Amino acid sequence: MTRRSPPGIHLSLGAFAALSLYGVLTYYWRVDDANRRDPDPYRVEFQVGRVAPVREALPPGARLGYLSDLPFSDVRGSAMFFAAQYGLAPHPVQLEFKPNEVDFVLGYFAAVPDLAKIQAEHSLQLVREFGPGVALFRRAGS
Amino acid sequence: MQFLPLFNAALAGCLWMAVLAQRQPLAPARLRWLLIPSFGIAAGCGAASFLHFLLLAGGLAGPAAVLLSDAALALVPMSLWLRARRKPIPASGADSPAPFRYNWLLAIVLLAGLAFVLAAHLDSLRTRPHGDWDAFSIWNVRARYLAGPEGSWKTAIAPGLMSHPDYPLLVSGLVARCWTAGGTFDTLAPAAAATIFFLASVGVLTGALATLASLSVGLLAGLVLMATSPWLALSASQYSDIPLGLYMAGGLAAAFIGARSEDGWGWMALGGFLCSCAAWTKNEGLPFALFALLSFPLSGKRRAVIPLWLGSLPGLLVVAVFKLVYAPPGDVLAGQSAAQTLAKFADLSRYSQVFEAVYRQIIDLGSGPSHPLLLLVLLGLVLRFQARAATPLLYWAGGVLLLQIATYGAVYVATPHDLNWLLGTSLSRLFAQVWPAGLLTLFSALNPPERCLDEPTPTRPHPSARRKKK
Repeated sequence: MTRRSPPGIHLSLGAFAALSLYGVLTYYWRVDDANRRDPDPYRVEFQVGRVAPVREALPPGARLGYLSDLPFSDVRGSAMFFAAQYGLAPHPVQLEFKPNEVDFVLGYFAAVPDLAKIQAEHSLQLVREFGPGVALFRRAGS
Repeated sequence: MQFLPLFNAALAGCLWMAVLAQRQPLAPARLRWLLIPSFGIAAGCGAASFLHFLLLAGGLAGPAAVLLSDAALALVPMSLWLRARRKPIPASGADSPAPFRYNWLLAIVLLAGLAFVLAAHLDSLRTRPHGDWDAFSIWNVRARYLAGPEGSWKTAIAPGLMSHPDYPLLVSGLVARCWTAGGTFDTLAPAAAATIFFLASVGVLTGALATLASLSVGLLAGLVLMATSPWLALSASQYSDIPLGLYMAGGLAAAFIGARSEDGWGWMALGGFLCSCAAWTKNEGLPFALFALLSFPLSGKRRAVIPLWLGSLPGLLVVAVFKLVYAPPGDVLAGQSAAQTLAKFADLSRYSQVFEAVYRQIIDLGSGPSHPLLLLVLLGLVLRFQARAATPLLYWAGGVLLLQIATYGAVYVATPHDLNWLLGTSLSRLFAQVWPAGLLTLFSALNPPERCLDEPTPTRPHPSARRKKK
């Protein structure tokens, strides 16, 4: 083995330790800044709270379809769907559904919707509105 | 009440590890305080999750069954430990070299770094209590279904209802176990699970290397891990990638430790079990477990093969039942014909796309002078890698990781999904999976600082040997 001087090794390892600690501090400052600026980028906490009353109102084992004004292909649309699905679990929420596969349909909208128009377009009947943009429907005539 | 299953899983794992350390003592023995909780958390959480799936499949996963099975999980190792602790610990017989003089300083820097990382980790958990995207869209939502009323657990694996219903259930099952016992979907349970998986990862890497090489090498590896920001960033995301990285590193580390001694069968069995836990954590863990287990006979440690395989058997059986009976087929390569897949393999532009993304990811591993690759180069130049460390066992571990990385590459090249999107959303997580195991393998071959110093390095006899001399 090549012999190296102890001060060189000690200094190099000191520099190594200082650099790694600097890396940790850089990481800490970056996370701290990001958490301040954008604490919940998909607003999951807000959305879970938004659908919580729906979950409370649903009978056990109820299956839901999903209806929104934002397409799933849009990041905001998919974030809304997944947050609603998460917030309503253990009730299954289906993005693509046949009317006879579900007991209710969750209307989950980014903008305040025209509920009368939605009911007419999708042959749905409003069960209850849970604040602006959140509504529970069932099939008309069921 | 919701923390009881998590605490119990960790306790049961620690007791099993204490029994193992009693029967097959570690050198140096003082490292027990690091190895027992780190490996104990990994093994205990894995065992609890396997058990929970069996309860679910048997229709028995109510709060009472969870608590009863919790008691069983802890009582068996507790009785073994109580019996074993009355016996004196046999000496390991290994002499430990004089430690590096400044280990205390490295330990302080590592602990200070860990304190800052934990502060950032807890702040992220506070601001995003439901976790990042994959946590609320995959792992935690599945945990809610698993913890729901009877029968709702099958929603977690229902095609058309869930994204990635074929994913295995280690993390979701563990969280569901907490929620079932507590009767709530409190966000503290997945947050606590994420935290202990993170801490156990640091402990397994540092502790295993301290056992295999020296404490200084373990501390240096821990410091490189602390400087890897994408890995740290995933710690609070509540994803399954940090746990998978823990099981990959833990499986290899336990096999390293077990293969060192003639009677290391317990560690080999633990290595096998942790490999099976990797397969139960994410789909990517299954090829890892198969590569590690099937190629182990090539490591030259033939006598260690049987305990390794036996240790993996119970877990792999559960994974096989889940995959063959319950889970739908995976969607990684679904939706395209064999001809389309072959055409993608023949398309060289896809390889360059993958390599470009890998290059960018390597650059993004850290920032400025604290980039982990620069730190590794610095250590390599100063301490050098030892030629005598290039054992078949080390080649085995390196080979397993290279095969794993090649598998990731092949999936990227052949994927039916948009390649740029897939690389952008998953590559950093794949790096995080193999990073601790990669560091373990690399640092196993690094000269400890105490061996590189000019001053003579006297060997310090093991305490038991000193007692004998007196």
